[in-house]
Amino acid sequence: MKKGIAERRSWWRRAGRFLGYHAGEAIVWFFMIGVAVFEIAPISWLFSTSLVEPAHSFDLPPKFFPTAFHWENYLAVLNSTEIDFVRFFWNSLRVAATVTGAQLLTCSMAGFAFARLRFPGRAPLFFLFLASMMVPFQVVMIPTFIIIRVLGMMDTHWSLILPSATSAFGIFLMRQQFMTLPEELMEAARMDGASFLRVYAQILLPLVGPGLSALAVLTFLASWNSFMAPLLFIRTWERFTLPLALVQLKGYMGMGNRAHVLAGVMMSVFPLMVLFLLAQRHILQGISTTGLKY
Amino acid sequence: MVKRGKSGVAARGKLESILARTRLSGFQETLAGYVFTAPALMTVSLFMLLPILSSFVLVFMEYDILTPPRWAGLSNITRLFGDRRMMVTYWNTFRFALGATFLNNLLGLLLAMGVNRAMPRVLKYLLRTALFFPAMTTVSSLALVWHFILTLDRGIMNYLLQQIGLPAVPWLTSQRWALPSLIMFDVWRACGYLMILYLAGLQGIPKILYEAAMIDGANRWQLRRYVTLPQITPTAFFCITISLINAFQLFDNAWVLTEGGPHDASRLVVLYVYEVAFRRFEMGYASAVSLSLFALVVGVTLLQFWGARKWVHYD
Amino acid sequence: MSIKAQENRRVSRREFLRGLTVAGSAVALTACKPEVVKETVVVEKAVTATPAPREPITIIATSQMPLDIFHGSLERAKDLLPGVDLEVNQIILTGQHGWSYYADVVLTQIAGGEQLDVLMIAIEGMPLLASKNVFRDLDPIIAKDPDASALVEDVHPTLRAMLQYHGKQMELPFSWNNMVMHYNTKMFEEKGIAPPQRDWTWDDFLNISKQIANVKGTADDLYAYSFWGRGMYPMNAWLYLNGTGVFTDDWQDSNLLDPKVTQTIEWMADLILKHKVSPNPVGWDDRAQFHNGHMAMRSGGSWFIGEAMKDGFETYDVQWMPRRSGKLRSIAGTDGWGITSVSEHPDEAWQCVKLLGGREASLDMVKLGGNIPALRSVAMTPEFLDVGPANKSIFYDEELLSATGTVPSPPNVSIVEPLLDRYWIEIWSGERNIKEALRAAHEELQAEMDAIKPWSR
Repeated sequence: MKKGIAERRSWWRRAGRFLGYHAGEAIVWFFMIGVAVFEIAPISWLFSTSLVEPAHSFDLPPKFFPTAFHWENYLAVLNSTEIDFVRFFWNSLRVAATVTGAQLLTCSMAGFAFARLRFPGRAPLFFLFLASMMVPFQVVMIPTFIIIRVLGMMDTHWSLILPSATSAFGIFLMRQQFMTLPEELMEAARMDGASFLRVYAQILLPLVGPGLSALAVLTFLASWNSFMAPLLFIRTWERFTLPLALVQLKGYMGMGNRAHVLAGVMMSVFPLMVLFLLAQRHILQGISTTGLKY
Repeated sequence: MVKRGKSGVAARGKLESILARTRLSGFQETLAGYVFTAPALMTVSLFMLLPILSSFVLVFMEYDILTPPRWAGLSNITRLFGDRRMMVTYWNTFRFALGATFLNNLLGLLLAMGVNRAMPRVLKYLLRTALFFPAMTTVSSLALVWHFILTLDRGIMNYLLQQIGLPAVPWLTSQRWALPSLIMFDVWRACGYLMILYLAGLQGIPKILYEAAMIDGANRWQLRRYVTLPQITPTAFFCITISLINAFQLFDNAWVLTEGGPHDASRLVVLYVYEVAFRRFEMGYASAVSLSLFALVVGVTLLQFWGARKWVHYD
Repeated sequence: MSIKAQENRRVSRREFLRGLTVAGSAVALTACKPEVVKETVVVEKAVTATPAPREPITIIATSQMPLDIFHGSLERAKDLLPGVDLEVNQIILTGQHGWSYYADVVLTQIAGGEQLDVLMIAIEGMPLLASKNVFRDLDPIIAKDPDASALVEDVHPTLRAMLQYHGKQMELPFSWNNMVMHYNTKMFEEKGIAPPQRDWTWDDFLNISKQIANVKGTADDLYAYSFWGRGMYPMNAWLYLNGTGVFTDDWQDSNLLDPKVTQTIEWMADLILKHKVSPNPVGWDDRAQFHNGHMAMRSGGSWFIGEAMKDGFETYDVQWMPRRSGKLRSIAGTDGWGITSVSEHPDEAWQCVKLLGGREASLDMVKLGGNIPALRSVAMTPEFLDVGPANKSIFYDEELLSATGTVPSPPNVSIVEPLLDRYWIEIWSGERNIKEALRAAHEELQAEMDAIKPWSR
């Protein structure tokens, strides 16, 4: 039987939608892969160059994939008499982990208070925190130095941990997260006689898991990579953190071997990568696998 | 928005607000408020507010670090108005902040939405790690890499451009391209960071909303327009505010990549503050400049919060 | 980072007391008076033999040099200075921002009241710190000490003069650097070019560069030479070779309007823009490109030898830089050890200075392929002469030292160096007409120099 006009039109429409859908998909994938390549290319160059014989570090055309495998560059860094890699790694880990733990606690508590509790001075106080984020480090560097000295924390890891025990960024983030939760949850719990502490700890906190994971990752990162503060406050060699020690690879007047420096950089990034892969699972919680695409 | 047993909740709410008016419960909430913010407040007071207050005082002083400060009255403030170089840095900072914030947030959101789709687990992990990787490295280590990429002669970027027949671009050495290079470097580093934040926001959107909308017959585009976008606005507000604040205060990237060159083309305000504070040893004037920046950022953020009422949807 | 001679650190008591007393005045931060003594009061003790004090005195020494240079010195300190607990720190120079940054950290530490007894800084930063009374005058101390004169005599007067401020000796010279031309011997051989002679001229240099360079925008591009394009030290090196400089001879005024300056800068810019034998220096990695054969020549000091050693690069030699007019000159900078005015134990600090700046310490440094030693006797030893290229002896050349110009280091160097850098960068990109750029630079520079005249004389 011959197809009616309506049916033929709908065939076109379906074909159009089919093409449009797949073209759209293609664009999205192209875009994502493209950006991913752009992001990763310098890093893969860094990795490949760290494996190359030092004399060839800056050859063109650039190698984005390792062609040589001079793992001895990495060994040279690990065995370097100038750097006790494991110790500095451990120092950085300790400081970063403590800072992250402290921030998760203080920021979620304060974020909860700003989002869900009413108390006089709430708005100005929140803004005060926010404002503290807006002053550049260079200006407060010297007063901070003096305060640390006065507190007797100079040259200890506490000088790195305590000033970062909280962050306006974290408080802001957690506030936004708590504000997306329905108010009824807390009201219901309060009606049932729960204290604020219980509401916070047992009811609301578990619901902002993704936010906490994101904060944890970003805080850990910031602490691990921080350079200026350890430079100012730490003097004893044994207490150095990793990025600071890596600068040592560059040596006096920049004498460090390029390939070795890059190997050191790769090694310092590796644990962050592991952390990130692990944390991803938490951020992933709740992902639906039914194929819903939005 | 799916509404639960309305009458029950409303009745409870009413009771709650009656209770709240009683002094005991109100007092409890106030106390809780202070107790919960106490640890953060103590830290911030000691390590942030105190130094900031002292820099407020320094504005009226002449202080070169080694000799005691001398009273300078308003001279630092009047100097602000005639400082041509500072005006240039503000202009640069504006352009940078707008460009970088826009690109970072746009890319961050799009990437988060893309990565949030259903795809094999491994691919998802790989993609996210690849996109986030640059944010995990230290800026100073990357300087070496990016110098080699952007250098005019024998740089990777120009080499690739010349291979496909395009002329070499003076990325770091011309007035025209220095700021865009800075934006490029910043976006390269930061969009993965924002992607993570948007991802957390996307994960927080209740599935129920999507299901309900689909039941009502929404297609994919409508899902995005009417569910995802409104629901992501709190996260977007946060991300945009944070990006702007950071962009206005950027130091590391600019210092390491161009040091403000060539000749102030990419000099951001904080680089100028650094120069005044640690090259000229004029801590008083440096405090004045940073406080002007501070005032600007506070103003911009206040505007953001005010505007938030218009476009941010909380439940 | 730091290492110590003796294990027991007994500073806790002092810090505790300080903490107690200062804790109460935390609010008065801005009025916090740093413990800088303006006029040093050197107590004239008739010291014949230092009796070992009951509690070892901690002396803290800070430099930018890697600590492995000082392992030997610390061992010797244990034996020779029993009453002293010597600790050596390093402030790491971050790349090109070296000396200003170093000075920043030192000043921050002093402002914060940190103990700092013995300090090393190169001449580039010395007037800056000296003008802020960070250093003690060493002349009276040297006069009292019989050992010291022998040490001081071993140092060339030019080097000694470099570390004086307003005629007073601020530091005891330890090492120094000049600028020579490093060239790739293999490349020269392959192209049949004779190695440069001691008195080669700019024309010779240009001819050689044109013969070598091969720049087409491909992966195999070969550049003849790259100059740093910024910084007091390298820029003035070329200017000196034309008998001129950025400043007038007394470092008080700008000399940028001198036609010879314009001539020099134009010649340098032509290397990049006209003859295309040099790359634009911004972002260009000198060391890497030289060591992997993409560049034939580069100019720098003897620390390049350490770099070559680490990179396993051996096919190079050194020669004096080519000159244009006037007699053969070089530019040099020195670093040395000084005693801070905040130090509470100047006598012990002086003992440490002699140790850390003495012959053994110098030999330690030389073996690691670093700077040129300030001590003449060490510069003649095989430990120095056998490390590095064949022509190493040109580094310490008595005749030339007398004619060597000091790298200009006015007390506001941390302001004027970046100022000039801003203009140089524009010139190398061809973005700005050279005469116009120099005129604008002169105006800014002269204004800065005028600003410090009241107290710099």
